[in-house]
Amino acid sequence: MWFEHVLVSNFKVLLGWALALMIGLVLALLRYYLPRIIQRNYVFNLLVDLIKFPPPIAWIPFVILMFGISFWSSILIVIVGGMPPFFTIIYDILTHTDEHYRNLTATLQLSKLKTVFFISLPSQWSRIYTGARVSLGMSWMSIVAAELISSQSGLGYLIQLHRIDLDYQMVLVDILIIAICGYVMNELLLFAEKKHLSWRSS
Amino acid sequence: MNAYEVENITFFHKNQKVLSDITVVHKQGDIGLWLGPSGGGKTSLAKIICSHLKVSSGQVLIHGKGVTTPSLDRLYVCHENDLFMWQTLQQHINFLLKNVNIPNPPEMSEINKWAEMLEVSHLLKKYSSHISMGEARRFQILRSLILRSNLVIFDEIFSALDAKLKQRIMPKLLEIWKSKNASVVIISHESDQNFNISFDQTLDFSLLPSLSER
Repeated sequence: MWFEHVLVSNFKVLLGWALALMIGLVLALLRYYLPRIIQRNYVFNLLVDLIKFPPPIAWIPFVILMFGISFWSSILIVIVGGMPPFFTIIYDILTHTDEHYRNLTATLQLSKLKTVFFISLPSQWSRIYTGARVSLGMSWMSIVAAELISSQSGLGYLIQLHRIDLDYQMVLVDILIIAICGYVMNELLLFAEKKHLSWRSS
Repeated sequence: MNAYEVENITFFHKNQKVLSDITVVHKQGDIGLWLGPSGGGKTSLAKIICSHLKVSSGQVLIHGKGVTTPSLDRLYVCHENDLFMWQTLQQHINFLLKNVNIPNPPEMSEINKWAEMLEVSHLLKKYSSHISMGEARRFQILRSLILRSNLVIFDEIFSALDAKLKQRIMPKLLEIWKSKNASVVIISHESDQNFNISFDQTLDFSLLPSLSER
């Protein structure tokens, strides 16, 4: 029973986080592929930047109204929380490729698509991993918030149950479990980064 | 036939005049040397020729035709690390051969011969983040040979090589350039003259009007 809630939360985070990364990547690419006039349009950028600021918690009542209390509602909250940091970092990488790489790819006459996937993104693998880690942290924050308010399962829900029982010790235990799960995931990601980017000099 | 002609180029960098009404001609097949103090506009002129910078006035002609966009026929080799750190040198070569539209791409055997000559063949399995600066510069030279550009501008590439090695490889490089009728510009600071080859043309940027005006 207790362990089930831990599994459910972890599963929701992993699924929501993976979707957040994918959607963030695709949206950043779409924004980068927009005509330059739109990319530099003040109103457009204002809209894109404004929408990043409301915290995931603020979206919870709206999501409940629209989709009810369900598994996918909490996934949606995780996406709302985890996507913006990754989106921001990917778009920043795409628009700020190093000058010497830009010059070289212009001379080599590589297509925009090849430049993005073979030069711009690989040259900033470390920052991509950092973005993914930030996004993971946001995902945990969002899932617990979503479960506290609008869920029938997961660690956030467990905290609510223990709170109602006035079992404050168990509330602390639940918080500790969240901390451990987040920490383990973060360490796994760091380990993967180290293995993957073995070519880094330091 | 001229490898490049620079006609009345004026160039500003952040409102400061770097080049003022410069006109230079470089014959196809010539090996040129650009000298001058740093800040003298050598790198700017090189980037202008390769269309990496826009000019305020004047134009660049390649083989008599005006150009405004970068193209493989003229290569600027920069002294910063523009190798692909996430690939081994061999993967880097394969990437170029596969994805770049090189006219008459060289065979791997020919590339290996050049690598031997530039003394980088033992490095090809390494990542470019794991090699020294001088080794990276030599690999950049190898890359310029692979890309078969008509005009190559080496910006301080040879300054990072140790003197003995440079004296060894320069005559062999010259032989390759001459056999392909390639045009080459070598940018170098004053104290670095030890090339062991003779140049067809020397351009001293300290004598250009742009500097005396400032």
